[in-house]
Amino acid sequence: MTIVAASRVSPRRGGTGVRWLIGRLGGLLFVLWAAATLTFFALRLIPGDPAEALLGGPGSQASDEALAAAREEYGLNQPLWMQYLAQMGRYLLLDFGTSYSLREPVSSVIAEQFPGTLLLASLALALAWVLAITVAVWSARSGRIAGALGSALEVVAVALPHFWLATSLVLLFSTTLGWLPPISGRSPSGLVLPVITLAIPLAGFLGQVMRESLLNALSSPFAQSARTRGETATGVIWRHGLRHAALPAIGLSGWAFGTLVSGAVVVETVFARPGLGRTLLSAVQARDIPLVTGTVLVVALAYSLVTTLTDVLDRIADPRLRTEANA
Amino acid sequence: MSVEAIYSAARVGAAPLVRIDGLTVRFAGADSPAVDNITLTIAAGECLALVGESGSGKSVTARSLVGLAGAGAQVSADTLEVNGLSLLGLSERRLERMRGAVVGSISQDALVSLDPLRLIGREVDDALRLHTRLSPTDRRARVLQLLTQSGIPDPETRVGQRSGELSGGLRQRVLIAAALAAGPRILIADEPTTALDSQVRDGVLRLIADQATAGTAVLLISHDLTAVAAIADRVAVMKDGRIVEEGDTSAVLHNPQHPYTRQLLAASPANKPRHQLLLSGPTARESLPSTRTGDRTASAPEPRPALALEATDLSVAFSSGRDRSRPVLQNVSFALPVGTTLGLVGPSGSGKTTLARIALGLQQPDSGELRLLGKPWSSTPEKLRRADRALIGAIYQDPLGSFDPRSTVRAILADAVQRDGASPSRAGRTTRVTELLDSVGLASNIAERRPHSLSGGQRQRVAIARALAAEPRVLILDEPVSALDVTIQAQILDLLDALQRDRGLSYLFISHDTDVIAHMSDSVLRLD
Amino acid sequence: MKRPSVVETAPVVVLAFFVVSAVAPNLIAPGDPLAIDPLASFQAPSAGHPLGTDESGRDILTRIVHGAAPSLLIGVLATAIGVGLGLVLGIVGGLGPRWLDTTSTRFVEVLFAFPGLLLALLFIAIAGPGPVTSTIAVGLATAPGYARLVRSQVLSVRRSGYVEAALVLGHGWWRRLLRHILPNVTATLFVLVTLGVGQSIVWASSLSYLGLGVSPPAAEWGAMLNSGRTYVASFWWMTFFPGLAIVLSAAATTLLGRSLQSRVRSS
Repeated sequence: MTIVAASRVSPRRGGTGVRWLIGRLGGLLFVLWAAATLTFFALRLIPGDPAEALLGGPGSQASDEALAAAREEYGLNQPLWMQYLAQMGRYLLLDFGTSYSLREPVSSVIAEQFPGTLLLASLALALAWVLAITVAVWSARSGRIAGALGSALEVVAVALPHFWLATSLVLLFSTTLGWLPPISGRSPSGLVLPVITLAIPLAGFLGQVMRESLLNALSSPFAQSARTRGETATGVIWRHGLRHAALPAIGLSGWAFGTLVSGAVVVETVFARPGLGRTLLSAVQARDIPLVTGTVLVVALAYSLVTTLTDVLDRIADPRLRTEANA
Repeated sequence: MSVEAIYSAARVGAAPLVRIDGLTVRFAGADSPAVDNITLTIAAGECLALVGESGSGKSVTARSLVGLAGAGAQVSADTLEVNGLSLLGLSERRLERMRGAVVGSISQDALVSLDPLRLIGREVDDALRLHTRLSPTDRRARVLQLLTQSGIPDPETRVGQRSGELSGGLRQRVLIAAALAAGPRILIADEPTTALDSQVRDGVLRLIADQATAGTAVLLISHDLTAVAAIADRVAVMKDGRIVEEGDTSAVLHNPQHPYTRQLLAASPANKPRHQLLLSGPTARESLPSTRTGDRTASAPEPRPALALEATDLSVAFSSGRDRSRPVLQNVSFALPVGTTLGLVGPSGSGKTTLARIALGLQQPDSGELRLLGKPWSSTPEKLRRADRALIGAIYQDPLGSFDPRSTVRAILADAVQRDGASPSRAGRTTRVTELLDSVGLASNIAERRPHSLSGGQRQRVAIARALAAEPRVLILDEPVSALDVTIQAQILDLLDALQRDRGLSYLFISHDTDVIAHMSDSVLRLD
Repeated sequence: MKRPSVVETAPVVVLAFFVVSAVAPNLIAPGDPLAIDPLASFQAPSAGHPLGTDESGRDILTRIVHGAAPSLLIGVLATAIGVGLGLVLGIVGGLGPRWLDTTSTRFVEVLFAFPGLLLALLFIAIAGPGPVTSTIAVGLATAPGYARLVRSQVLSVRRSGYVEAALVLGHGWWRRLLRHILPNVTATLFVLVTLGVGQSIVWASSLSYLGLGVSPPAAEWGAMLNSGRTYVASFWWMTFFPGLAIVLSAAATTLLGRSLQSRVRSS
């Protein structure tokens, strides 16, 4: 029903660019604070002595001195609200305590491991974009059968679990063909298989989104109108279609970055590649609470920053988000 | 063939610029051809109007002239020539070189035919880039010149804007500039004014007429007979893929020979006095309700309020997401006497819909008051208002969106009949549904269908039946016929008029179509 | 109604196979999935063992068939937990007063700050590994996505033309809720659940693979992959086939959800 034009009921998306950005950053700070608070209180839900939990749970058989030291370090003898304030203060300084399993400050562990994972995730994101655009453009140009084929490929790609894809790739390229090392290490050739593993399922997802909006754009009146001015079928895809196809994918790239970092937990483990994901997994297995919370919070921080960035890019790429005059 | 060669070929003689002979277009899977053996010519400097209702094949004809009849279309013809160039068997590459250079096209969806992500300047520049060898600097100057010629003020600013920053009228002018950019000798305008407000419409039509005066062959496709009368030299009337009548504009419009042309002319509300039935004959009788008897005579004449709606100084500061510099409504006052129609006109964004929402109690005015049948309405809290909601109903432009997608017509009407407190029995509801369908001229076998399987006219009748279910005294009609073809529009207008006289209903009638408003209204309120 | 196509029937056939495996595994593979046979360890696929054997000589086909029940059950339960939480948050947000909507939206936003499996890993770190916690963990990790979808669905139905039409007719809040809003929201929810089960199966088996969920020697697909990890270079069938079962079941549920979705949309 046209009487409720969408713009009349939906909330305003934002005022001027600066006001919008301030609002967005405010939201970011809120989310980070709330995530830290949530983590703090979730840890209090662990049954038993919190000092013992910090040192690896009842199985760790921590000495009385160690327990006392932990109580002292985290101020566990103080009232809850003081502990909370102290903890938030430490988080502000990026101080996440000491990993008992690695006997190192959590922040230095993270500083050491994060760059590798960031590189892995960034390369995978770039590869996924290239794959998704290729499949989308190819299937948009080549008619219905290619479209159905592309769509089937995408569904299978999305359903591929990282661990299975990784082992299958290792079987094919390392064990059988011997082209690439099965263990990633730090060499550039070792990066190839992990990047492909992470990129394929994501490419399937981005490809679905891109193809749908590409086809929408190509069947829209403005594409038709460009054709009547003499634009070629290829010209319409490049000059009109791709921008429209890229928009939703830009918006999703922040989210995609998050799933890549989460996927790195599996992929780094399969390929025995050092990185934040593998650190997180061993921390969870060892129930190394300071290391787990530190890692999770740093990833949440990075993830929130990236989504904010993609929101900004989205606004730059799509003028409709900035001008409301036609809404 | 180069563009220059095409031009020189045309200058040879005074042959028509468009020659169509025996054009037939079939779509895969369709029973009958979309275009069936039509023959047309358009000379230089001539404007030919192709009129007919949706599905008559007029747009397919136009698209065939640029080789874009659509996927799965089989085009055959004895002759299909533009500017002496036969399109039959022409390669896609040659067609692309022809489009925009020989034939310019203006499409009907003015609001969405410009890429929202691209700059206006680039959209207009496309044809120059594709069809001329001008340098970028020359092209830029030419774009500015084209925009000025198309009546766009301040073109230097406009080239750097996107379609979202332009009004509907300006967007259509940009599209005209883009269509004319490479200097085509033929211009196709497919419903160029449908999405536009009436004031903007005349300017756009004049701009198109100017092209014909300047020597372009213009093919105007329209359902709007007023527009056709204003600018076309000749008219061809299409029905079911065939041309049923063709001739000079004044001859066809004033002395129509074919019954279908007469029906089209009759169905147009232009210059028809109030309460005159638009349609007569079998079509009309079938679609009008059987007259109600009984229940109205019984009631003793109680003192009735004289005014159905009365608005005093209604103001709404601004709605979300809009230009905040001007209010939506400012001190609007009006009175709608019982049993009459108040027409509400104004350009888009003038607050027509806001006013309708206030009348329906869906939105509160910032100041001022609206009274319903002499009682306070807009100032009443929702809890108290609910009891009186039955007094006022609404009919919208798109009835489909106002029906629950899971429901059949019967379920929709039964739901509306079943009022809180007084629920009739199952049998009573069934009778009532049949009554309601009958009152809007629908057969009762339609009750088991779902709205999306109905035609536009049938949907609108179901919407009217639902509005009548609560026995309202006032109806808010928000563009109720804007999405309908002219014959169906006439049927609905006749039905609304009959219901009004039969039941003493009061209408607040919103439309952008001044002819419809003039025919339906006792008084008119214009918002700016 | 049009005849179902290959794309629509293939997933149904695949799922039917796994469901039969889950309900009556002995119909398809009448062996003991845990029976060890050290003499027959690490056998490649052959007539006797179509999919080979593992390090203790257990038949992989038998284990995959018997593993369908726990693997699918964990996926379905995790989806149920996720959808349940998502429904509560989404409906509260979509129907409740504005302050409640803001609160629940903010809460969901905070949960969203832990992308993918991170929320699940955090939960397991706190609650400890195991089949129950990993199921809950996957449910928790998927809940924010469902909450967002449910909320937007509730809002779009609530603001739809037909709900407004019911308001104009004078129908009360409860009647609009029960007659129009809830039925139209649940119609799409069904599709959502089908689409979500595939993802839950993949995530839950990922956790088992990482040694945080079901542990070997139980016949669960993720756990089978976990125990095959060590031998991947020499005995590929130990990881390939259980993984294939996961891919097939996940892709089949996704495709099924898709075709349900397009049917719902077109009707």
